[in-house]
Amino acid sequence: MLILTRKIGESIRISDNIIIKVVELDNRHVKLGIDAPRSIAVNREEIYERIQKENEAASTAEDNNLKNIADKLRITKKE
Amino acid sequence: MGDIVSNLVFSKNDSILFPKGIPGFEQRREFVIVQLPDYLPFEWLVCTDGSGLKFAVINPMIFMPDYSPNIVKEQLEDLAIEKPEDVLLYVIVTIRENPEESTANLIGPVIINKTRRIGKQVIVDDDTYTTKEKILRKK
Repeated sequence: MLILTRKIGESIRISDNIIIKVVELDNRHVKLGIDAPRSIAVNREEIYERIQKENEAASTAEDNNLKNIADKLRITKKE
Repeated sequence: MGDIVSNLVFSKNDSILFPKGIPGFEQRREFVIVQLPDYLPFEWLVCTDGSGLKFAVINPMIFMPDYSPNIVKEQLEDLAIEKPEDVLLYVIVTIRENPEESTANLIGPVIINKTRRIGKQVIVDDDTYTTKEKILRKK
């Protein structure tokens, strides 16, 4: 991993269209500003991981239990 | 009792391309939507590669009519959506043994352009929703 030292207000440029700037710093937090084309997905890593994990859990579930939920949902809708 | 996908026959025309797969399954690119009467209003997003990978999905509006994730149009650029009728919206369901506990992932909606047959799981990076929203909500 490339590691660079930056001061507050300084930036890193990635390719020609992504800029990451150190905006604020306190004890344990760094605030970063990111300038990138909107089509480039910028996400907090833990959000991506959460979705990854949930997809894995969803892919292994037992089908049959879904019939019960489907029944209940149909009943709820009718009420 | 067979797995629901074991007897399915897919037509190439039905398949939906997920160019980047979905998180956790980045290499799985082709899926079909399968509707089976016993499971409605749930549907199945089934990978066509024979791996048996599948997800129960549901249109979130069915159990949460006010669902409005914060999605910017640039996130959908690669789907080349031209009109609202092109769009299918689903969320992925995690089935629990106790049906009451089953949840849907509302920060990872699956959006499909059914005309172009291309889809993606969008990551909604805000704190309004979670990966585990109960589907059967208490009144």
